[in-house]
Amino acid sequence: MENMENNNDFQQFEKIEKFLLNELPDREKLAFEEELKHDKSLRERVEQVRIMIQAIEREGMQDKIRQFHENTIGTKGAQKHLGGKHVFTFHRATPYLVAASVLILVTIGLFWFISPSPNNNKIFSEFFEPDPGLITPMSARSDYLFYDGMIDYKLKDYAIAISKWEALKDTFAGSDTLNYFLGVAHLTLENDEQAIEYLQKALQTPDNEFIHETRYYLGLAFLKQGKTNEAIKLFEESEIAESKLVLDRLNN
Amino acid sequence: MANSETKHSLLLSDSTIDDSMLQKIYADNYHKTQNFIITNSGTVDEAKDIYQEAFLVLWQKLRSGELDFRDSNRVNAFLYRVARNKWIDHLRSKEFNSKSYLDESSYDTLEAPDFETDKEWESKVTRVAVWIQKLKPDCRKLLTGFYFNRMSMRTLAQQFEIDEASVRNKKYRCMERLKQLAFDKL
Repeated sequence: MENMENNNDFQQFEKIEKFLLNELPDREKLAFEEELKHDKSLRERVEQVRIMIQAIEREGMQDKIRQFHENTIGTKGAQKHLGGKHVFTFHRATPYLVAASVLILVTIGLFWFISPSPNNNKIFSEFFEPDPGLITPMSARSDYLFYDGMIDYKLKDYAIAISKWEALKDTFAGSDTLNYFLGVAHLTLENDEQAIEYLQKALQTPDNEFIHETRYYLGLAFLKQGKTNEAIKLFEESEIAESKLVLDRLNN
Repeated sequence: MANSETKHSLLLSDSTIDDSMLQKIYADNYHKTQNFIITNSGTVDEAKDIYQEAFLVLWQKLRSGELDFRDSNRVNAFLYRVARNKWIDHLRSKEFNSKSYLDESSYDTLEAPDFETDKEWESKVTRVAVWIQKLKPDCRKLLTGFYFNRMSMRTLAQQFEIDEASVRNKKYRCMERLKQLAFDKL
């Protein structure tokens, strides 16, 4: 009996939802509107669902509005220039990377004192932290698709981020940013071969803005695969602090 | 009912508006609103909060097609009026009602006839929005995915790694939970 009531409630909810989203066939819609005229409790239920949906929509939009503000007004109230560049810059990530670097250094410091003798896999797991990702401004459509994936990446939904970004491979075939983040996302999911493939593409991109980070993560991927010499070469070429620390760890 | 339906429609507009257009509208109108609020006893932070609340109202009007984003004069005027009236309401609230901060004639009822009647509705939506934060993360993600991003059941089923019937059930349960949280407390 209770199940039947629950089922009726569920069906009524779906009908209300379809009505509000204009998905009811014309005949059903007319019948539903007629029912609404005579049923006060149904009218109230429809209004509740309508309010909830609007609230959910606003909740979804608020993140974007915050991004609009950050992109155009900033924290000091001075309006920034609006551009539609398709080149993703690294500067946007700097505050996150600084914070991440501090975290990584603290983590490394802790491991430094407590770790037993290292091996490649152990060093990898000690050092590997996915890049924290870029902030997600909204501009041109194609950028939007990239940053849409970035939101998933930052929510740690790496597989979804990968599926969105891989759909952009043709559009941004030579993008250091796209290949770099695809590489890191794959590495996080332990898809080492794919990670190496993307990171190598990023490495070959002229003027790669992520060159030192790319070398670092590719080095970690090689290290995990037992290709220590290749890894060491990359760590030596990478100028980020973490690479030097991995080298020290390997030397000890 | 019919009145409420047209004023608070959830239908998606035929004309698509992308984020770059919205961002431009946001940037183009911000400073005018900020100047009004700052010159009327407000701070930069208050201006930002009020403006963003007003922008949400505008966005829903654009999304439903009640306003056309191509009619920039009307869009800009609407946004400014909503923000301005929201600020005046704020000044009239309990905290401020013993003092006179603003010439009463500033309230823009002639230009924004819908605003007064929308206040109760706005208040309900805002209060329900607070309870969305109390839902479990997967509920928030599912409801936002379906109602805000208008993702298909199929896509959501893939994301949540369950079948479509289970997604529908889960969505219903999440909405029921939100109803319990929000409407028992309104």
